[in-house]
Amino acid sequence: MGTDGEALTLSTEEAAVYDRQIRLWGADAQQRMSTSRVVVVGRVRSNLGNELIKNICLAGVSSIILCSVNDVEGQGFLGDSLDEVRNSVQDINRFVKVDIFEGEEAAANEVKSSTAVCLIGFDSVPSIMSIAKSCRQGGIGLFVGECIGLFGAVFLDLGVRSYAEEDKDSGRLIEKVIDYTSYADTFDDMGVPKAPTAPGAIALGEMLRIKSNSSEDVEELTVAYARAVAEMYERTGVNGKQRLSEQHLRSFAHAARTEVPPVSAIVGGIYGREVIKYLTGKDEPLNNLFFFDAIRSTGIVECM
Amino acid sequence: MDTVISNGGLNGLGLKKVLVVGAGGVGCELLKNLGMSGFERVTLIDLDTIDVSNLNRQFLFRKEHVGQAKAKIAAAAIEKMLHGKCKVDPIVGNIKEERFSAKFFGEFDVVLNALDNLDARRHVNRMCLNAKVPMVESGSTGYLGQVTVVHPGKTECYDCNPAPVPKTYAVCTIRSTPEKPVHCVVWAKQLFELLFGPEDESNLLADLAKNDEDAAENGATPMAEGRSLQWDRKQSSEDFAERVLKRVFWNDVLRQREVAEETWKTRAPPEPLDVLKIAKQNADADAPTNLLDQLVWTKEQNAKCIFGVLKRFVERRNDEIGNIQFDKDDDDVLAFVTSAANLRASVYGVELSSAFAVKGIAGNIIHAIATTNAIVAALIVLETIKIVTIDQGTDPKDASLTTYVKRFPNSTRRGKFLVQTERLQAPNRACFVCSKGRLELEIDLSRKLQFLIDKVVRGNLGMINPSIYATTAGNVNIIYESGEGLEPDEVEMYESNAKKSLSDLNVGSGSTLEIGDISQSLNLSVLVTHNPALGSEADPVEFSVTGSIPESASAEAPSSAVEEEALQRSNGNKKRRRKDDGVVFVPTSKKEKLQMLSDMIEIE
Repeated sequence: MGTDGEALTLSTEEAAVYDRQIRLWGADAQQRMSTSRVVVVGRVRSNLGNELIKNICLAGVSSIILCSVNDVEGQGFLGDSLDEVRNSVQDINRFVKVDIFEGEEAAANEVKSSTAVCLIGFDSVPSIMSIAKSCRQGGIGLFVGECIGLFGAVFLDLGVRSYAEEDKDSGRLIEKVIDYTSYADTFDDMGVPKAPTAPGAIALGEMLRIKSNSSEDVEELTVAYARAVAEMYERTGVNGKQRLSEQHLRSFAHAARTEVPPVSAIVGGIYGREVIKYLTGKDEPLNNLFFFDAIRSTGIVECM
Repeated sequence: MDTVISNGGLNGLGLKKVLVVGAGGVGCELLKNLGMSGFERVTLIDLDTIDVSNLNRQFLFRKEHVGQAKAKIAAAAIEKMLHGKCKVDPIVGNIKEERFSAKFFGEFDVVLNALDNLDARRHVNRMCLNAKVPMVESGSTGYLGQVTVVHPGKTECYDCNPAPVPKTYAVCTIRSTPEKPVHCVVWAKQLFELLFGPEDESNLLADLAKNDEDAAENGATPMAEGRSLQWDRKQSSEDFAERVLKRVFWNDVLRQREVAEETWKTRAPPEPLDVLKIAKQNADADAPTNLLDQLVWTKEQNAKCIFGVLKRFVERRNDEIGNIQFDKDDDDVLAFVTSAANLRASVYGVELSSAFAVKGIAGNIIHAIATTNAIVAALIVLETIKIVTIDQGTDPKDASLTTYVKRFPNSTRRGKFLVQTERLQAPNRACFVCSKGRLELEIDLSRKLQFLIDKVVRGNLGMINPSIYATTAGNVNIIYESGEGLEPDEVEMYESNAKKSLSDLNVGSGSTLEIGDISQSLNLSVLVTHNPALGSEADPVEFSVTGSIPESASAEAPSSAVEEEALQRSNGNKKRRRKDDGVVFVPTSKKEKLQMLSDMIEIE
């Protein structure tokens, strides 16, 4: 983290462009952002990938490195090919340096020299476990986001993380620490939660299983989906009236294989917000799972 | 959303006609989300042009677009981004113009607000009620966001809850005893408007313009009419600057020492400042030029800056004097307000502020950021999809939601919520807009009609082109009309009426005012009570507007839970708030909702 980057100051032009956000998070935070190098790995061309990239690009990081792995065919708004995505991102904010790479090998290299690593898709990068481990070793913040139909999630592993929080009474900044559960302790090698207990985490695990299921058998998918959704609602106390019909569940099972644009925008918004918090060292970061459910328009935070 | 998917998913959205009001931070994200979700027919209205400070979040705009119309650039950007799959029809204009009639609104399946001000929100709400078109309303400020839905006649409208009240300060704190930088900034803004803006009798410093300076100089407190403080067109720029600085930072300070004598027993009295002398003695000091950095200028720099900028207005912008609006993005204005506020702060021993900070305070800048805007815009689309695909016969209260985006997770029995919802409520039966509730107005009848029009009718009731009929003891008088289609002699008559006091226009205690706005299809009956104490030093509240359920409605309806709630709300409003705030309908519950709303007064 570039807390000691006093040598750099924002140019007048940057100060004018970032004026409104500097008023929110302060010039020191903007300064730290401008020394940050963010690596985005996985389905960077998905809509969630595009949303996240747009958000951190607007925030004004120093550079964004896009490592496309097992990517989708341009489902986002930044362009179809990786080159198009790079050009669009560059166009959104010319103060940010944008680089593109393809494949896991490049990703593994780029991760080492980054400030934060943002994965798009739990199942997009087979070597996710080794990336997670090298983040832990290097003291690099790891984020993983996913959107599946009407649901989406962001997971954070920030190691032993200290952050500054304003004391309500005195207004002074107090240093606080969160000791995160590691990715390796939380997910198995397939990128599925090991032993989820909270409703969002259980649902996420089921969604991921359904998504990876190559079967065309809707019945099978529906049953799995129903189990996941019912479990989640049971635990969050949704009453019988709001239970889902068989027909709804079938629809969801289909939707589980697509991205719903507003869902990606919401999850990408929370995702971006957390990455910015991490880069600036301000505000309490989420610990450690955000789960969004578009059926009820609710976003919950759980500790896995 | 469950019903949506089971009804065939996102297909069919392309046929729906959507009106988006506002192409700012939320608007840009919203257009992208609509297009990506399959909406193809979008009309976009915005009157604004692109500023460099928009570029950090309004991602459809580029540096080379600065100065161009937001609506046009946004529409072109979306067409290009989505390869023409979504057609956006841009209109550069103000949504409050009469050409955007109820018929215009009625052509859409849904209206989406991505607005940054209260007036326009209230107006669009009324137009949607008239046209019976569902509206999605939104707000985004800092890390907080909110989206809600109005189904005309079936759920609460925007005016069912009280208008958020701008934060105000006690008159004497601003005029005589400032304690914090913000007090000095408010004062400097008032001084700016006094010197360069249109005449305004409610300016807190109005007396400053009139006081005889020579008497004041001797330490007395004369109230006799003296020469005006404004530039008199024969004065040289230097004379004007000298005169203003002397009266404001020297003579008036002496007078304030006397007026607030009691205060200075417990804190240090203000020290008059010879600004002219400081400015001239320090001729070599650098006058501050950078208005964006966060450095605090010295007293000498402030003196030099204000002397320079006062002269500049006379030398270069004299044709605008008397008609310059406060604008935080006008560099001369910001330089004036910053240096005036800081010199005021020096006089009163208050800490000085940077131009950056002054701009924030004076411009009411509530920082908007890209991530919150993105979330809010997506929540708008979720609600929009539900509205346009809802089954006939479904209660909209079961389909639509109010959604809040929070800064920190809110812990509840059911979990920690970062995005949280609330059910929509039935209309407030005491609402003067959607339920035609009755209003009572307490006001000092020696106030001019212009005051009633500006502060009550436009400010509090949110009308644009009002007409006012007064009924006193059975006689009906048309005292005011506005809008298009008036004859020149009518305009002249109403202008002259505006300068008269209400009592001169035959409005008395017990009179009823029929106040209407044809474009909003809104007609109100307002019962007037004379209260000469309002707006005095003792009671700085200038007027009060309270509402109640119409007699006919409350007599017919059984005492339901809804009515109880409405009654509670209308009873709660006896409590008075500060200046400019004729409170309407203060609910006793939903504190959080109100808090959110009042946090969102002005959103950039």
